[in-house]
Amino acid sequence: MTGGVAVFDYDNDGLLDIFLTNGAEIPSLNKSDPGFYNRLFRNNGDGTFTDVTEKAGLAGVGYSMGVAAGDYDNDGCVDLYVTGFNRNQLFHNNGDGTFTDVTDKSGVAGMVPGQGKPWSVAAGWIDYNNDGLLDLFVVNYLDYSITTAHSCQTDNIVDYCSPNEYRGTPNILYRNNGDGTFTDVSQQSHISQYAGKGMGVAFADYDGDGFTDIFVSNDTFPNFLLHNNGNGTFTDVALQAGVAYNENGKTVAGMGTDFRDIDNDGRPDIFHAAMFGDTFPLYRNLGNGLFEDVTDATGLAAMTTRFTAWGVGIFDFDNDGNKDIFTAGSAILDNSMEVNHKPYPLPNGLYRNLGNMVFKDVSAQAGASFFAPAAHRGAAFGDLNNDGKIDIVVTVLNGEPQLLMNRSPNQNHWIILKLVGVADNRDGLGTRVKITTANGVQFNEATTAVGYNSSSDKRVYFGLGNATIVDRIDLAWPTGVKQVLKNVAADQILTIVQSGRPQKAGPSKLSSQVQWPAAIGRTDRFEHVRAGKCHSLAPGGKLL
Amino acid sequence: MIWLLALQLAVGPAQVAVGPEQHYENAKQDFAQRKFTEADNEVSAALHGSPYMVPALVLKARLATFAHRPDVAKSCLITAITADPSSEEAQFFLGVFYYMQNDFKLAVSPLQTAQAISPKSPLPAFYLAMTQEALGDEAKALELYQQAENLSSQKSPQSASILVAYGRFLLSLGRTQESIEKDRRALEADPESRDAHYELAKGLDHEGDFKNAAVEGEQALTLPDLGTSDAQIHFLLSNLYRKLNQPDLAKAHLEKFQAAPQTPRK
Repeated sequence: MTGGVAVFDYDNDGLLDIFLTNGAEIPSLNKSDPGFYNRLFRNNGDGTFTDVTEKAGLAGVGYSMGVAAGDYDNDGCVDLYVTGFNRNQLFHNNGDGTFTDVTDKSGVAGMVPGQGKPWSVAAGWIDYNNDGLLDLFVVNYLDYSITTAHSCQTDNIVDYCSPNEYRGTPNILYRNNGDGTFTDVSQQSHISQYAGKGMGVAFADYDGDGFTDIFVSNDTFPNFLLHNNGNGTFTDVALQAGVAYNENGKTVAGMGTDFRDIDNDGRPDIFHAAMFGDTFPLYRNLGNGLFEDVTDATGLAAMTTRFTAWGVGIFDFDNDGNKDIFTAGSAILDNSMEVNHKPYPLPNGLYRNLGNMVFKDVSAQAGASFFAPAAHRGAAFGDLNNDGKIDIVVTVLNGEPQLLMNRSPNQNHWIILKLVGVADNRDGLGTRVKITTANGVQFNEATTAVGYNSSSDKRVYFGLGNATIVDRIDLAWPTGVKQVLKNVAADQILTIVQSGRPQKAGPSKLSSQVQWPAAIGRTDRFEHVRAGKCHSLAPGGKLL
Repeated sequence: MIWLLALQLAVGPAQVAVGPEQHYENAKQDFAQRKFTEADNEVSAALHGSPYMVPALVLKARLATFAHRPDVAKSCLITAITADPSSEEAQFFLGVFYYMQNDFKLAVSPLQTAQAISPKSPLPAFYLAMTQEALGDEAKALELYQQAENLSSQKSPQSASILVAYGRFLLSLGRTQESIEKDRRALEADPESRDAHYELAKGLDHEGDFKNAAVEGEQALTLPDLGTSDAQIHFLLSNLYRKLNQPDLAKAHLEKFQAAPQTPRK
């Protein structure tokens, strides 16, 4: 079940690098051989990558599962949190191409009081209390011990046991203290009340109250929608909201997830992958705290019911202004053919959004290598060659990862926003962005928590269709700062340094007319002065 | 006379010789009455006397499927087809066997053969439709569902089942109005179909007709639980009453949903 991947710029050269998690020897659960090391590949900028794992100090320990990238200390260099079966690790980015394991010092080893170290799968960075510091949410799977595990059978064939055979485990929320340490606030935030079988996590402010909420997709267990109450506590409202079960009132084998506004109505929607026979649910946010399962109505039910998938992402792959859906396919069991008479390797899926909440399966037309069956797992999304088109890195169990470069032959325009928080977290995670062009409005949110076990580019992507100008960009930063940019040219990677003062606490609606002067820097110039180093920012965005 | 009496005592009560055909008939009756152990004993006896009796082999295969012995089921069906390739029953059940095993590509050939042998039977077309649906061939599946519907003109629970599956497929394609039409026709064929009422309720929900959807859902709850579970219906009704702004009913059904046994899944 490993196979996490992150795309992030570890050396601040403006190019996304790739980090891949790896398993360990069984049953020792040690990375006893370099073949088990996690791997960091530096993007050379010419279509090639260099393995810099050992120099970076990221080989890791234990059986690693997932990864979350985020600049938790706001020093301008993105750090990594790696989840695992027996060990979780926080790596601080030193800014010189190396990382330091600060897990013990920072207090984020992933232990659950009274239960020891649970099986952690995914994690994500979120500023849940809007204090300008990234906090850490860790998703745990189920209560499984390698020493006491029993085997199961289907029709006299040995296979893995169903998750129904095991108890769920609670997730963990770590509050960032701002001094390099974290406090486990799972109990006081009520997160620990909810024991599930988590596989994926994604964040968005689904009700527009100004506080980022959490969605956890669970495996054969009702999903969690953890509403951020704004006072440091969360409440699971999945059942009332209509996202705990699918339309038929059934749990599904929840896998990776994404929480993004797919119909551009200003309300983030939820999608997650599942197992064959389930369909992959798409829950449309209706407002007022309610979602509706639109898997059938969008045509996704018929397209996905035959497949099992892990990594997912909601991105506009053809830059036509409508966000599409990607899924990384593979059956669960490596002996799936023997047990279920279905192939283990499966193709990736690409579902094009036709703009009216109807999707078209274009997987087979997306390229031979794209559609080639494999044991896919995690997927991370980002523009690896900065050509304005979102590329995908997909992991393959016991195989080479797939680097799917987006060569879509369209002339559509685009804009990529790199947010630099000042009062807010440096990555700008949790910032809600609305753009207005001649073709209408679009919404997105800055996040790296996407899919299964994986972490995507923190930059915010928009396809613009035939629009060459973005008339207006509205940003609502988590701390309440509103920022507006006008008449921005398309086809650029635009760095936006946070500017302005926080608004009074309360709902952060993007319709606000309040404008604050924007600090804008083209990526090339901005990166030039800070390449290769971590820099703190003074108020106003000035480099220190 | 004494020697005759002694002989009778020696052999016990008079035995009536039962042939393979009678054992098979007994097995059929037991199977219909869901007495599966007895049916298996009888059909085994039939096959002991006549190892290549095709109907008995098919029945043995069906019993083996119930007993989670796919290896036995497959072996019986292949033996049956080897003995008589023109057996529509054997070809059909081999296709169904492969379909149930997720071996959709393998299911196509025997189902097509069964269809060719009995072109007026709706069942091969129906299973072929579901097989093509599982294979992702939307166009072929639609064509075959339509064929199955056309062939099942008589109103019966079987034709209702075909229409419900057809409607469910249309719903999954986002063709809600056509789905609703199939569900309505299913109810004409079998007004007591819980599945049809439930699927119609879902379709009406998609169309925004929450009031009539709730009526259908409530009706479904009154019918025997053969496919759609109580939990599913309570869940749907909870959502419908929420949309109808009837929070008390929504809450009541949600509580019943949570209290109802959920089907564990892998």
